[in-house]
Amino acid sequence: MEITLTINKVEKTCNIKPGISLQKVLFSLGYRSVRDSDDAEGFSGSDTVLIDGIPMYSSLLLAVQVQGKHVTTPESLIQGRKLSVVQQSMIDAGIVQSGYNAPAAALLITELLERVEDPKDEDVIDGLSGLFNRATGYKQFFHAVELARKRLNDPAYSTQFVPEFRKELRHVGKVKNKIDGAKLVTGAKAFVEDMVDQNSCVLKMLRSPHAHAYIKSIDTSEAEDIPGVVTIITYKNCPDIYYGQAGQGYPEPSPYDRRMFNRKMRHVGDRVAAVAAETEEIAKKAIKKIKVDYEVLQPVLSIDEAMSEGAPIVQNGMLMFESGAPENLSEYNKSSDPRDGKIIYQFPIEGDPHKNIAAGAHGGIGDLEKGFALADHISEHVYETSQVQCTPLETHIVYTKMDNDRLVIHASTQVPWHLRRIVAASLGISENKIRVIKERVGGGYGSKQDILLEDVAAYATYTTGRSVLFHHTREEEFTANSTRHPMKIRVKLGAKNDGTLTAVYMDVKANTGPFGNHCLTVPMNACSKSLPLLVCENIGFDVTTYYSNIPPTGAYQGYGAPKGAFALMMGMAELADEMKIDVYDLIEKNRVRKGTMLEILRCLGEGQEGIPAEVKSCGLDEALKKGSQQIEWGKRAYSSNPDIAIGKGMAIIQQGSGLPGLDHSCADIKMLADGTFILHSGGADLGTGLDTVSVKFAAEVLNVEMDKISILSGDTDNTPFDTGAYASSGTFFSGSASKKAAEDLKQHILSSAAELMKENQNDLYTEYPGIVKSRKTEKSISYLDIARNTQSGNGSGQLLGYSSFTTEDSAFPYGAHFCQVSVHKKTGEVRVNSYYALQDCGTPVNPELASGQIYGGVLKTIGHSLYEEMILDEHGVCQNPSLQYYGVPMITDIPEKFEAELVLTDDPYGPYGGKSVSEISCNGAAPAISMAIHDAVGIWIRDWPFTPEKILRALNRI
Amino acid sequence: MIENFFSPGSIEEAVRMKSESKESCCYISGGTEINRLNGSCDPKNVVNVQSLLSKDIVRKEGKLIIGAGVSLQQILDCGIVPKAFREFLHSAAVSRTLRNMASLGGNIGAKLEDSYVILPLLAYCAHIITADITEEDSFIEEKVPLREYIENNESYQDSLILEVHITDTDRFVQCKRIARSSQSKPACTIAFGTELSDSSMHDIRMYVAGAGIGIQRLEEVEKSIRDGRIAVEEQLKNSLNYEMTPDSDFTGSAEYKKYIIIQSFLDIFDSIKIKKGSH
Repeated sequence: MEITLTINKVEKTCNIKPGISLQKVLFSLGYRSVRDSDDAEGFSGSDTVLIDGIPMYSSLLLAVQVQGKHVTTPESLIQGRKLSVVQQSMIDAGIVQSGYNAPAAALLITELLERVEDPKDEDVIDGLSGLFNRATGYKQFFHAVELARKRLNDPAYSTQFVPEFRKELRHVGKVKNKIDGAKLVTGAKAFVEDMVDQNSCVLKMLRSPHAHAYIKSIDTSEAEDIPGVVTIITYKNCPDIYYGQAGQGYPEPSPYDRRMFNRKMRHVGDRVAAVAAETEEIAKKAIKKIKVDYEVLQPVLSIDEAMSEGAPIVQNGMLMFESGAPENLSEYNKSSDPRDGKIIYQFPIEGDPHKNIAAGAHGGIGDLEKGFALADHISEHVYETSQVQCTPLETHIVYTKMDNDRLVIHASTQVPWHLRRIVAASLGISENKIRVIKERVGGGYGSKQDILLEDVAAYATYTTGRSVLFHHTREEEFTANSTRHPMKIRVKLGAKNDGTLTAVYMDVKANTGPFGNHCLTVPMNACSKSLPLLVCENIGFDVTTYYSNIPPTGAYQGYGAPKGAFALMMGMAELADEMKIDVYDLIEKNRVRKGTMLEILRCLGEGQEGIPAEVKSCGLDEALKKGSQQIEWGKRAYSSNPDIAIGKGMAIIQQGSGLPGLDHSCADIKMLADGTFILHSGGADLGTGLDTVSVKFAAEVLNVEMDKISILSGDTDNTPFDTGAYASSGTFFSGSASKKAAEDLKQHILSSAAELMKENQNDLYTEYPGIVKSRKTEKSISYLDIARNTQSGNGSGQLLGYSSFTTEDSAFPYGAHFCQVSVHKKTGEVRVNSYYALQDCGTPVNPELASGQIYGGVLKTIGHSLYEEMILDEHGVCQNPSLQYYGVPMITDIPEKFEAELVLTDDPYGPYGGKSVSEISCNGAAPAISMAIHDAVGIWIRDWPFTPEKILRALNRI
Repeated sequence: MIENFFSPGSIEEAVRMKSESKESCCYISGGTEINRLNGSCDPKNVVNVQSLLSKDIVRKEGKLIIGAGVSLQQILDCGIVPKAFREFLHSAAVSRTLRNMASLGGNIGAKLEDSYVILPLLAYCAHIITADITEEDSFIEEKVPLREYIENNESYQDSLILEVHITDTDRFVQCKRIARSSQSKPACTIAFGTELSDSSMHDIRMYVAGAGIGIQRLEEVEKSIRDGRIAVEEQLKNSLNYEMTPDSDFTGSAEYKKYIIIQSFLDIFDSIKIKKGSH
């Protein structure tokens, strides 16, 4: 049917199907800013448009409903190339991070400011109540609104919502335009879905309805006969190659325990068959025609079940080792079932798959037994964490196509080079035949570290020659995407009467689900990012990871640290309570400080011997002091409602800055003919501002404005190698590589200048804005002249800088988080009234973005602590696979007082003193909130999430 | 999957289209339910009544009349709508974007157990005006209690809601939506309404909604309170326990739901005591 509507003041006539949503029509017409994050749940707001001036979800609206109406999309906000006041204010406030629904936010803020002249906080909350944002924690939306409102009256208005740092530096530590901010906030083509060519195929996946089953038979013939079906891939015709999906450095500590398609189904949502077809409708129709007969097995859904004697075996395949195979391997393999395939370890990690053990690790320093014998008090408790979902606004997506004989993969990934390696291996082709282009990433939070759909789309393209789009639905995000490992952590602490710790022990049991991606490293990280917080001579840990039939797990922002920090800080709180001392004092007495030698790290390498490290910078002194003042630690607060009790909690936290000894980043930079530069970084900017970090570093080194340096990153053909954006490596590794490449280029510039100026290079230095000067003669030459000369007919050639950055040095970020909660004693409701996150990230390179990441990390974990969990039924079926059912926090859930504060330290190993910031922010909320609940009502809730029901049970009300 | 979208020129034509449709058919007004993930209907035919329904809120002959085409945001913005209704709406339909779209009539017609409007309106003893085609093929408009519309689902399959009438806007009404987070799916919703005098409660309405419960009136409890048989907390608990059978699901266990429903009603009774005390 035909409809006529006005879009951004231009009348359009479209032929549409009656059931199509307005969002789909707008997107197909090229209004790229109108995106879908929730499959039309009417929740996330990425699809917001104005209908006759009123905000509405365009995925819910049928296009035919807007016949004759005025539709306003975010594309209307920009005038030519000039950003609107709101758009610029959003960038300045730091809320354009992954940016997937930043255009929708801009539209909502614009509408709010037109509707309400002087919006109060409650107006902002109301105006943005229909927008989900995982990256920034919403707090800086208030700043953006205030900034925009004032600029509408006074265009020159400027203010600082976050402090700037390092006066002696021009760019680093200053609030600057995010490199890709304008692109993202305006809704320009940026994401994978924007790169899809006409006539591409759509891939849909038939997924297992059973958590544990063998495919007895599969018949695709009827589906293949449907016109428009291009290919169907099953375990029968996929490559017989085993690999792992974890995007980790080679050789991975995760086992290769899957083929592209397996005969055994190991979770609800496991791959059964992929259909690539001319349209989505045809692919869906074909999927319905595939006949599968299953032999259904008893599923294993918990750590306890996996551990139990005679438990069903999830991975009962043939065990193999690339190196270090045990002598009894052939005996071990006698009980394997060929239908289960193989499990290939690159090296031994204490796995015993036939007992459902994927990995294990054990170690420590000192003498634990002696330590506990010395203790006057021993406290021992078990803490549990649940399976939670990353919920990026942009669900997992890939677009693959052929370019002559090469495969081109447009990916939303954190690991372009690992992706290329794993896809090459899984297809059995060489890496030179693959180009990966990392597009802008609409939120990753760890889940885009794994290769979840790229392998199968790539194979479909490589075998058919057809371009293929594979885009997860929101439900698939819950059933087939990596999530946070559920864990069970026993913490045992021993202390003298004066509070001095004599022994610290953690026993970490993790549930890796159907596959072993990150099975060793996530639980080890629970130890390696928490145990070093405490100074004690006797520290020990045991780690065991179990296979099960829950939906897949993997990396999630913070990795194992949020779970380890929860358990260890709770252990400290319970020990303090039992000893009747203040937990603040207990932590203060035993915590890490600048100069502490972290010997425990020797035992906590990722599948290899770790590297002990000295703490070179630590902002905990200031963070603890300030935070305790802000929360008024030690002063009890009361509610006027007798049913409500108020309590306070705290935690100290740490993370790393990449993986010294494992990570590797490269960059190159070249001088262009006019003396400007292009930087090629291997780093994968996920929206965190890594490209901006890289440009800042290069501009700082070369003494030029940031806009004299353009950047290309994350393209395996055109930028050099980088292990990727995970383990908080961005600033420290990728940033250092960019800095080092600029320093290399600077030497070439000085060398060329010396030749041109006929001076000694040692007498030369660079000066802003792009000049080489002589200390001796005061002569100078511009970068422009250097470029022209070096690139002339008799010049020395284009000046290039290159670096590869590896290190064994560590730069640990630290933080202290404090919160105050109110607990309703009759309803069990918990409200976080105030939250203070004080974070030492060394020199905050992008202070406004760093703050946003702290708010985002904290709010994610408030969500995990209070609301979020994937709930499975007894068959392993997820009961709440949508954003609303799952219960992510919205702007309507943020604490009344919510403050992130950056504590400056200058780390000698960090580039310009910088350390990581984002991941660590996830580590504090769970222990701080649980402690605060105890402080309020005297109960210990030891498992996530702290629901009203659990509170009421602990209070013996039910 | 929607295959046909009809745009009738009158209410009567709309109702005839719906009642004569041989395949699954829905009215569409605001449009928050029909195309929604996990939505309550998946029709082949859709009858658009958006432009046919009244979007006015008026006070007439002592009654509050709200057109079925009124959006939830309009209700929230309208000062003549009882405060308790508006406050609940704000706490239940938290997303302003959603409130801009959702219509009152559509939200009632969807009969969802987590409806934003049904429970408070039941507590207000609201009536609705419906348009129907009789068995004799006549077009009629009739006024029915909302309670009857909800309880006798089958009888009103093709009815189109035109208006909502609230006669007594001064009734004491309190509602509560119980959920983990501000916008997650609620475990349950409760509503309580009564005429309140200094000495007693009259014309009590108690409703609970949620998974396994549907939308349930607690008539026995109402009776007990009215007869003065329930005076103490324990009796109330026993009576409520007897009448409710919620499901355990991802929002909470049945035991929790029973507890929180009872506790929420007790909180309301406490607030009534305070209100009486302040008189």
